[in-house]
Amino acid sequence: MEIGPIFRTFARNRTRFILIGIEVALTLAIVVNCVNMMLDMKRDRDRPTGIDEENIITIISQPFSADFKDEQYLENARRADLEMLRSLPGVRAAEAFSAIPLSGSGSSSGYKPLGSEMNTLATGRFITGIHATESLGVRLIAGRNFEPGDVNDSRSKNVIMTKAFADKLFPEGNALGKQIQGRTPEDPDTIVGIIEHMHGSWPGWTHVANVTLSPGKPGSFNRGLRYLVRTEPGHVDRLFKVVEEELLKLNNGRNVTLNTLADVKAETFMADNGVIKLLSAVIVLLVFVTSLGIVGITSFSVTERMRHIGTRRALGARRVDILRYFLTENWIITTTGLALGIGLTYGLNYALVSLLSGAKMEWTLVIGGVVGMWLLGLAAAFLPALRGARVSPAAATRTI
Amino acid sequence: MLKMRRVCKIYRTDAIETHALNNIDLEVGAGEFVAVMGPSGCGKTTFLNVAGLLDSFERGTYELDGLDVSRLSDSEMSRIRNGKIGFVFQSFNLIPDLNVFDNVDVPLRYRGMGGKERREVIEQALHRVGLHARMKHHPSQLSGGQQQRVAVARALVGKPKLILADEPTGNLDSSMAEEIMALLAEIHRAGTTIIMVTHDPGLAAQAQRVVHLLDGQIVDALPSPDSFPGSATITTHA
Amino acid sequence: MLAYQLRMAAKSLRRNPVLSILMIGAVGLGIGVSTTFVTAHYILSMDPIPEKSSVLYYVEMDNWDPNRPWNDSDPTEAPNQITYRDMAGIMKSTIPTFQGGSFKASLYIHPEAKIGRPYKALGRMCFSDFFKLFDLPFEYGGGWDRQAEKGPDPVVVLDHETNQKLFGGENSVGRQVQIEDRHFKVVGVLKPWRPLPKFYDTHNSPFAEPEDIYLPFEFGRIFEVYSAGNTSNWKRYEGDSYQAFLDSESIWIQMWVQLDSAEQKEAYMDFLNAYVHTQKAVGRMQRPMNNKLFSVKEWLKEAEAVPEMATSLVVISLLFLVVCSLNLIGILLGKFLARAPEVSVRRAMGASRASVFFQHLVECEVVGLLGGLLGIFFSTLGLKWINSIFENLFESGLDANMLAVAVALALLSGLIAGLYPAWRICSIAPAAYLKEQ
Repeated sequence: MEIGPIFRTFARNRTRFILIGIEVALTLAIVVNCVNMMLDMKRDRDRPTGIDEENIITIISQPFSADFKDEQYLENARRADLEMLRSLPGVRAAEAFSAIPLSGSGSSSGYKPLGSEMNTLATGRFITGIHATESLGVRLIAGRNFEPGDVNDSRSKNVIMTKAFADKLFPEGNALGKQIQGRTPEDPDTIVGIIEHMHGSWPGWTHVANVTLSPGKPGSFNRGLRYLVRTEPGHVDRLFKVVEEELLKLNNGRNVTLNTLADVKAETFMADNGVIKLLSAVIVLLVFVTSLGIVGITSFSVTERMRHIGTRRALGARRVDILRYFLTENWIITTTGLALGIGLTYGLNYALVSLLSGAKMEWTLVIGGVVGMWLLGLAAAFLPALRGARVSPAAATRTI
Repeated sequence: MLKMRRVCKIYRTDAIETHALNNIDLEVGAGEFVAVMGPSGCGKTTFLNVAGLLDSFERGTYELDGLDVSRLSDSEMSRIRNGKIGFVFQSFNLIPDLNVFDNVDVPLRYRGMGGKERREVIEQALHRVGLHARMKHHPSQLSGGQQQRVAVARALVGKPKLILADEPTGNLDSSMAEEIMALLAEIHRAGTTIIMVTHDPGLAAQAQRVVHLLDGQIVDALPSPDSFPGSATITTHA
Repeated sequence: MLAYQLRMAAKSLRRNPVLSILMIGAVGLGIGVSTTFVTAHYILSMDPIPEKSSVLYYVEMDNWDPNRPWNDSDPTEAPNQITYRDMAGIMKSTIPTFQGGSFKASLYIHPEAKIGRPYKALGRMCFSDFFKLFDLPFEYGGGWDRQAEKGPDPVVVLDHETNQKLFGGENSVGRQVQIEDRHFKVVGVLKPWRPLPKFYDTHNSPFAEPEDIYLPFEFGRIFEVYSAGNTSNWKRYEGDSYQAFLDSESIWIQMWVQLDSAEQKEAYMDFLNAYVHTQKAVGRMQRPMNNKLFSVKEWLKEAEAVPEMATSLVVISLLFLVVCSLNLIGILLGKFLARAPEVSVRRAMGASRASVFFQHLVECEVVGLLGGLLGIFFSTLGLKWINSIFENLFESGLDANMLAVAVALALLSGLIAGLYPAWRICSIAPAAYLKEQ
């Protein structure tokens, strides 16, 4: 191909080529950074939570009847609710929890090995009952589930925690059976079970995979009662209505709010999902604008060179030669722009990460962006180039 | 070399049909130097376009170098233009973005020729037109005569059998015009067939044979030379 | 001359409508996108209470663990809320013009049976000064007076929506509402009020809606309600009674004071320091003295109320505008240079280089202005869309400032995009194109 001569013509059409080059470079930088931010948010959102999200109904039972102020009444009500829920066909397990995982609301606390001098490490903490792991759909990989005896009034508890948190407390991996404390050594807890993986209440939290389950009687008049109901796969929708009716039938002195855990999670990620939409819109518009720009400038290029094209045709260039000429020219500009763009992409990424929010750039993403822009450049130049290829060789003899 | 039989070229607009070429019969032998003459608008350019395979025609047959070129595809025509025909245009048609060397190089780019060989023949051609020293200049840095000499070098470089020249001196002053005509005469002496389109009887006289074109037809002789070339008074196009 | 140049510009734009639409569209899109994000950022970072933001202060003091700071990675930070006992202690001060701690709590409203089932509402437990601190706009009635807090009298202020729901929007002052197990007398109804960000309590979500009802702080104790926001603690306390909670080191209250002058602020700071000394004397607050008064602006910064993503999007949208302007340069350049013969004639007839330059610049600015108008249209659509995504956060849309920004950006991009092409066309030699024709 005539790359040499094409290069030599650039010097004489500098502005136009610089324009496309910068435009391509900026577009690459913006698009790749937007995609990077999007992917980062999506990764956060789609990280496996360890929980059987698709098959769980969350229930908040908010009592208003003063009867619930009585602790015994509250406990009876909780037991009745759970018995009813567990008896429904299609329900695999149900349990009360002090907070709903992934909901953005819950409580945290700090633990360290009993007697250790280190700072306590943060963990999400749920107070729950003996069906906890089965209701979450999380996998117990060591030790045991809670037993009825664990739910007692002692301040020292037998707890279950995620492997992630257990390994942080006991890096040698021998957490099972060990005792742990909060800031003070009174009433240490004992690790009796380890869960493979589970996310706590705040999906954006650094320590989201640190989760501790503590046996107890969650809920109060003030804060209400929370249940997770795990169904057989695909039974969520059917059970949704039934559960609401049955709960109110059982006790009308309260309001119940039902959600699927999937919806709860989506609500938690509302802002992120919104930003993902905004970034997508920016990407689509930008790609559109840049393509128009390339089409426009290549068109000018073609119009301006009608006579040259005619001359080349007269001298024996076939249509495909002309097409190839313009595409090669465009490809060279795009490629130069992209080389500049790679630098800009990392520059913008650095600026966004260090000054504002942003995620570090994966080089694979940059490669993907470059390939994408190559194709975009060629596609955008194709129509005007085709118009150039259609110029008749007789254009060479036409007097202007 | 070139044999046209009853060639017609018709331009159509919505309302009017113009016979730009009307039953042209023409034969040009190998090694001939023929001038095609006629007033402005008589169909000279159309004739040149058809003869040079720059444009299609409607009726008739056309044989070039023993090959029927009446119904060829676009890329076959490109190949023939590239291999057998050299063009010299009135307005030179050099590509302003390219230097002299690259301009002469253009036709060679369309036939897979190696870089070293290309360089040789380009330098040879430039030598022949006396512009060897100006290879790196851009057309805008050359005088009109020099530009046309570059164009002649470009026409020669592919070793064509036929050179088609369209008013090759139309944009040049008389001394430069003489230079170009001398160059063409020399090329002709070296054995290349030349067909030159012109409205200047003085130039036409330097050819071996003159063909007169009027209203798209070949005529035996034109009305008295005095009535043209004041081209403005004669309009033949519908 | 300008009128003539404007007429020439209009003629030129009409000559090639497709090109003109492309140019105006490019500017419009760039302005539309950038104005949308600039406005969104502007709304998020607006001063929520401009008339008072210079005199309101958020109070922090350090009651945290002597052995471990509130924030491991920045030990100079103080806990971001205060305890009940410290609130009670510092509210004895007479220095602030207005003052008060408050917190949000989830409370049951029991409407009349014909209206519906009992429902959970968010209440703000606060002092009478709360309404004066933040200039809450009243539709009917007003806040309660300090006297009412002694009892406390069961009085309530409803927000606009709650009054709509419970009383159909009538003047309900004097009517009764059952909250939890008590009947409250309505003393005031608010006009619609949505400070953005919700500066007086940025915890949980800085852009959440304000609470539905406002009750005297004392009812928190009576109902024994805990905060519906964040409660943090570092020290275990004995017993699980509500009183034990109030006496504990748990922080859960947002404390604001109004200090109208520098002297007042200084005096109040002295008062806080003196208060902390009394606490140190009884064995509390063993960390270094770290009392803080944040102005509204400082507090919003401290609380990171404006999401960094919003700023990132502004940067990206401005780069987007740059790409659109580059496009515009490309088109203008092609368009102007195609006009070289005409300009040659004008130059030959005596048009000066400057007049050619300005004539073309005027054309660029006409494009910029038209693009700006289109951009304003796009950005109203864009803001509507963003508003629907982010639950009515951006209801206010474009205001006069943002319109001015949009027009300024449009004129600026028209100018910047036009400079080079206009210079190119004005610098061609008068004779260059006359000869060839």
